[in-house]
Amino acid sequence: MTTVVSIGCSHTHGSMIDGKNGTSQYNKNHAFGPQLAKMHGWKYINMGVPGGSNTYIFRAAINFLQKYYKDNNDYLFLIGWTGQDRMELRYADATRWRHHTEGDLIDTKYIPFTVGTSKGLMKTYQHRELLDLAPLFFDRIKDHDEWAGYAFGLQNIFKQKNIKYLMFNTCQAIDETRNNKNVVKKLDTEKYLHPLNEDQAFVYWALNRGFKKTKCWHHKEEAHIAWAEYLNIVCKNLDYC
Amino acid sequence: MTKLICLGDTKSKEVAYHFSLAVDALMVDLHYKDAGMQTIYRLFVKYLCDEILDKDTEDFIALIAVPTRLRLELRHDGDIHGYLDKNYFNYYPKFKEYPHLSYAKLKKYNAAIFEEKLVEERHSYFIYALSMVCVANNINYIMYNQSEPLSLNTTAPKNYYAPHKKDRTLDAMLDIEKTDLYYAGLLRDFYFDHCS
Repeated sequence: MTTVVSIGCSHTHGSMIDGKNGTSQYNKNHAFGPQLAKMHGWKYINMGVPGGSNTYIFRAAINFLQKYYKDNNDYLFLIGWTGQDRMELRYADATRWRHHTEGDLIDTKYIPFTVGTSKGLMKTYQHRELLDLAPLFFDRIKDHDEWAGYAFGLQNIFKQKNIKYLMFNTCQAIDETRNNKNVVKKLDTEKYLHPLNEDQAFVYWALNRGFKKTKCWHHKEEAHIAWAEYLNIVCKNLDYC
Repeated sequence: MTKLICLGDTKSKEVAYHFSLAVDALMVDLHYKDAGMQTIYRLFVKYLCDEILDKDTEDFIALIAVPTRLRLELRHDGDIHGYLDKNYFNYYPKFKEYPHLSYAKLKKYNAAIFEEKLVEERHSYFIYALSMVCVANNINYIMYNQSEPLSLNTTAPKNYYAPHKKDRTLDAMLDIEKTDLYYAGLLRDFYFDHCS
């Protein structure tokens, strides 16, 4: 039986599907990844994390392949790339601090760290103070160079291991830079859907189809079901199902 | 003629030169000052996409000097400068050459920025990704440690010279007065025995 492994940020997690929570069991079980799995009676693992960065996505995918992937099992990876200005930090193992989230196979010692993260989410004064310096960690060109490199790397790994996958953007498109333009050209756009087109990112795709977003720019369950149906069509065209 | 794509901190350039002679390859110098694994991965993917893919006529080998884990790649604002984009720099615990004074404020938070497992895992997944990209594109490669052994938690690919041995890093060898030429010879032997 196929297992859908979805990795991404809050949009992949399913934040606000229940209308009130950034993270909950209900949300993570009703986001587009689980919805696609349920259409076929497949299993699913939802590794979407609210505040998750593209760095998180790259790490989580490799971590899954190294620790949980089984050669004899069939997988479909859904990689929902997120926006720029995000990275991750980590609470030391020796501390009691964790960043609570309901995603599957999540190391809750990791802390999503973005320019807009609320200080209230940080458990230590060091991490809270570091938020004031967050702009030093981010640069538009760096973020988009990294993003293209991560997508290219996962594309190569999936291809090498003969793993089915789809990539797409959830809330922003990749910017072409002078550094990454040839990397972007080498992305397989049969499997990475519209990497440069923001209108085709999940959030805007759904808005353009009349789905209403929440105040914090998340979609409800109906939009997730619609996105899963769209992904299902792509899967059929690729003979994934 | 085979091209040797050389990646790592500029301090590993001399070894790369001798290794290129040992394997009779033309050196492509992608070394970068204070490079961390993020830098190496970024530059390798860029060069691969710019210069290698779609060209079946040349052979390539990648020589990768894996640096310390304690590096975080950052970039200061500005136009892209040169093929390697010199606006990139690597921040590390004793870093002093701030492109802008505001970066000096980061020092107070080094414990958070370089949390042990955070940097260990980042190192590990870039090594894995780099090796897989090489394999997927039929590029022979060899990796070695410039200054510190890999953590025992990090699984090294088979083309990695002495991944967990403290006394087999480049810096450890230079400390006991072995030369870059000597070290390149060790890498050459390993390359012909395990990688080519």
